[in-house]
Amino acid sequence: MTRQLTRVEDIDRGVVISRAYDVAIFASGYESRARAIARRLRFQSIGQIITLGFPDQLTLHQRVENDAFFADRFETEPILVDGNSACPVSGILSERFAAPQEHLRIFVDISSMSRVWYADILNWAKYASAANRIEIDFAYASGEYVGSYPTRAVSQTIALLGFEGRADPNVESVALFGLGYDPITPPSVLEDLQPDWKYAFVAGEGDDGGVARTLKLNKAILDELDGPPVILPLMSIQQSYRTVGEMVAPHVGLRNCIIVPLGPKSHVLASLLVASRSEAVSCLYVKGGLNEPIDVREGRSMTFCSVLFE
Amino acid sequence: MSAIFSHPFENDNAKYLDPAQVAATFVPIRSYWRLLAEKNHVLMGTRGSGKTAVARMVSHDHLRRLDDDAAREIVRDKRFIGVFAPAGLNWISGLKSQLLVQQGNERDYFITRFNFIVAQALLGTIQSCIEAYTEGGKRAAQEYEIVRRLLRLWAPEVPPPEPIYSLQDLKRSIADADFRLQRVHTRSIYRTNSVTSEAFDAALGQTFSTGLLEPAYAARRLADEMFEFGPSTKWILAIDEMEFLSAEHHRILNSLLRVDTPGFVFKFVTAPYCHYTLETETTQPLIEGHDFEYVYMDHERILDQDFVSQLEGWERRYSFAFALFTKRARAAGIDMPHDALARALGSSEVLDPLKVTSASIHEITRRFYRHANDKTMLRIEKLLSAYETSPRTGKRLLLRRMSDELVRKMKPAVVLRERVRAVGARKGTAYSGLSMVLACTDMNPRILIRTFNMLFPDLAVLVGDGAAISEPAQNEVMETIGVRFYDSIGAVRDVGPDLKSFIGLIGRYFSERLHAEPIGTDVFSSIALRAEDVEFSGLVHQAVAWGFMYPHFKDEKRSALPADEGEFRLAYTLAPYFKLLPRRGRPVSLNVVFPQRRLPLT
Repeated sequence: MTRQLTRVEDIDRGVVISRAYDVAIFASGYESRARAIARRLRFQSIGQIITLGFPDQLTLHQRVENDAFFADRFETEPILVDGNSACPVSGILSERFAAPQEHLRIFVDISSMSRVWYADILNWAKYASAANRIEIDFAYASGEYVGSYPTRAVSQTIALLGFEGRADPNVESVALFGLGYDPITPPSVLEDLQPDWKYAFVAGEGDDGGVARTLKLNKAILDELDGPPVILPLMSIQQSYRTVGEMVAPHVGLRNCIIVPLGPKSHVLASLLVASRSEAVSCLYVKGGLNEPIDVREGRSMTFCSVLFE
Repeated sequence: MSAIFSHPFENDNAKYLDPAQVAATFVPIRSYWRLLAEKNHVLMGTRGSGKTAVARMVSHDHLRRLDDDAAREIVRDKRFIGVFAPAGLNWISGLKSQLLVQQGNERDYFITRFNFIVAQALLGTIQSCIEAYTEGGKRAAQEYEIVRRLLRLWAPEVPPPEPIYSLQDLKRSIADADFRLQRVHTRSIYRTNSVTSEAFDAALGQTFSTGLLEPAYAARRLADEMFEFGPSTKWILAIDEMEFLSAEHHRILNSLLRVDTPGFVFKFVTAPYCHYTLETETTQPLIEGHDFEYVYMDHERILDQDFVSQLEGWERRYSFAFALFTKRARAAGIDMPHDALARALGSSEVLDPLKVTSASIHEITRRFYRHANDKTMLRIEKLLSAYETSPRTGKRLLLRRMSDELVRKMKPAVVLRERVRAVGARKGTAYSGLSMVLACTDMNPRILIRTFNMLFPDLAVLVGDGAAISEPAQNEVMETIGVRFYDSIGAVRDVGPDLKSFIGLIGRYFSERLHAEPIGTDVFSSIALRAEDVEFSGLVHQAVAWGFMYPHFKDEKRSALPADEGEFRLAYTLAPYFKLLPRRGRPVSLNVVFPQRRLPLT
C-alpha cells in the first residue's frame, strides 16, 4: 500500500524541541547555514542522528567547520552521499528501520540539503514498508546571499525520481517556476521546456532583499509569463504548499503540470509536497555547477513544518 | 477566410498551435519538400528556425490541411503517411530520472517508453487516415474495428480497465498505462515487498518492450490492410527534439536508419551539431549519403521558385519573410495590402542602395573621406581626380565604377557610423527601414514573428492609412530584441557563461574595428575557425546550434555542417546590440580576436 500525504502543518519551535524523534537527519554542506538549526535547538529526545555530506570538496573552510561542529554536537561523522544519485538516503533509512513499526517520527533539516536527498526521504516515507504512519518534521533556516549570485552554467534538466509526473504528448503543459536569485536557469529551462502556460512564484520576504531583488533579477522571464508572479511566504511551508497546490489544481487532469522550483528550499519542499499529493505533477530540478559553492550565511528566521504519511 | 488568430504575430511557436493553425501559417521551404521523399533524413535547425513546424507538417493530419497542390496529391495518392512523435523535455526529464535506477536495463527501458510515445502518435495519424480515406457514414464503424484489432495486437486477451471504443480513448489508455507503469517502477524501488501492475498495463508493457518500434510496425500492417495502402505507400516517422536525448539514445535510434525497416522512413529532428553519434547497434556506423542525408534548414530557407518568380523588389529579396507575413495576416482574417510592410517600415539609409550622380559625387566622397583608411583615401582621390579630368562619357563610366566599387561596399558602414555617433541627446535610428529590420531577424521565423509582434501591436498601421512607424521606434524594437537575444546566451546548456563571454568579445572586437578605426571597403563580422582552434570549436558549434552564429557555405549545394573549420558569422539579430552591420563581411582569424587563446571564464 502506498501511504498518502494527509497533513502539512507549520509547527512551532517549542513543539519540535518537545518531541521525541526516532531519527534526525542533518546535512553538512558548504555554507555556515548548515549549522543553524542544530546549534539553535536543544532536542528533548533523538533516537539516531544521521549527518549527510557531499563527497567532494571536503577541505573547503565551511565544510571543515560544519563537519567539526556535527562531530562535536552529535558525535557523528557525515555519511558521504552523492548529491545526484537517485536514492542516496532511503537506503540508509531502510537499513536502520528494517523491522516494520507502527509509527516513525523523523526530523529533517533541509537548510543545506540537496533537494535530491529530501525528495528521496519523501519517497521513502510514501512507499517504504518501514511503518504504517511516518511523520516528518522539516526544518529550514533562512539564509543570506551576500553579494551577487555567481554565474552558473545549466547542464541538464531532470525530474526528481518519483516526481516524474505525467508527460502526455497529447495535451498542453503548464509550468510553474519558483524563482530565486539565479537569473540564468529559468530562461534556459523555459526555452527547452516550451510549456503552453507559464506561471511563477517568488518568496515574499527574506534576510537579503527578498522579493524586489528576485523580481529584478528575473525580469526577462517575468515578461514571458501568462500571469503575474505569485508571492509566497518564505517561512511558511504550509502556506506555500497550499498556494502552489491552488496554482496547480485547475490544470491537474487536463494538462501536464510541471513545477520547476528554483528559489528557496522552503518552496522546493512545498512543491515536492504538492507533487507527493498529486502524482500527475512533475517536479524538475536543474543540474549545473557553480564554479565554487556559495557560503550562504545563517539568516534570522527558522521555520518548521510537520507532514504525515499514513 | 475566417480568422484563426486574434493577432497574427502573438504566437511564435508551432508547438502552441493546432493543426489548422500550423497548416494555415506554414511557409513550405525547400528543406520541407526534401523531407517528403523515400529517404532517411536528419533535419537540423537552430532554435526558432521552425523545425517543429516542419516536422509536424510532415504528419498526415497536418499535411492534408496544407493548401498546396503537391501536398494534396501526396495525400490523395497515399504516397506518404506521416507520424509526428515529439520527444519533449518534460518526457525526457522523466525518462532520464527513471533511467538512473534501471541498473543495466537502460536500453530496454528507453525502447519501451519510446514505443509508448510512438504508438500514441501513430494513433493520431490513423485517426487522420480515417477522416481522409473513409467515407462518411462508415468512419465510426471502421474506427471501432481498428481499436478492437489494435487492442488484440497490443494487449491480447486482457480487457482494459475501462471499455475502449475510440482511438482517442485508446490513446488516453496508453498514456495512462505508460504513466502507471512508471509509478509502479518507482514504488518497486522503495518497497521491499514486490509490486505488481494491473493486468492491462502489464500486457501493454510486455508488448511495448518487445523491440524498437515493433508495436508500431504491427499497427502499420493493420492500417495498411484497413486503408488498402499498397507497396507505393511509405510511412514517415518524424522524431522531434532529439537534441534532448543522449548519444546512447541516438545510437539506439540510429539503427533505424541502418537496418531495413520495410515501408518506413525516418526524419530525425535536432539542433545543428546535435546528432551526437553515427554509431548504431549494428557493427556498422551510419554513412551519410548512404543511410541518410542531413538537411540543414537554416541554410535552405528557400521557397519554391515558381512562387518567388512572381514576386518583385523586396518581396522577392525577402520572399520567406513576405510569405510568412502574408500567411499570418490572412490567418488572422486581415486583408493586408501587399505593400503594407514596406509602407510601414520605409527604407533603410544604411542598407538600401545609393546612386552616385554628378550632383552628389562631391558630397559623397567628402563624407566617405572622413571615415576612410589611408588606402581607401588614396582610392577616393584617384577616382575623383580621374572624374574631374574625364570627358562626359568617361564621367558616366566613372560614376558607375564609383557606385560599384566604393559606394556599394563602403556606404553602409559610413552611414551606420554616422548614425551611431549621432546618438546622444537623440534616439538611435540606424536599425530601421524594411531591409534593415528584416536582415536583423536572420530570417529566423520565431525572431521574425517576435519582431512583427513588437513593431505592430496596433495593426491599424498595416491595414489602414496609418502613419509609418518612426525610425527611432523601429530602432528601439530592434535594439530590445538584440539585447534580449544577447542576454539569452548565458542560458545555453553547459557553456552559457563561456559562450556569452566568447560572443561578447567577438562582437565588441568587430564593433571596435567598425566604429573606432578608419575603414575601407571591407567590413569584418565573421570568424574563421581552423582545425587547430580546438579550444573554440565547441563554443562555435554551440553558437550555431542556438542561432548565435551561422556557418557560411561556399559550396551552395552542401547542407551538412562544417565540422572543424570554416567561416562563421555572428547572428544579425545581434547587430543592433553590438552596433554592427548585418553583413557577413570578411572573416577574421580567432588568433586575432583572442591573442591569449583563452576566455576569461575558463
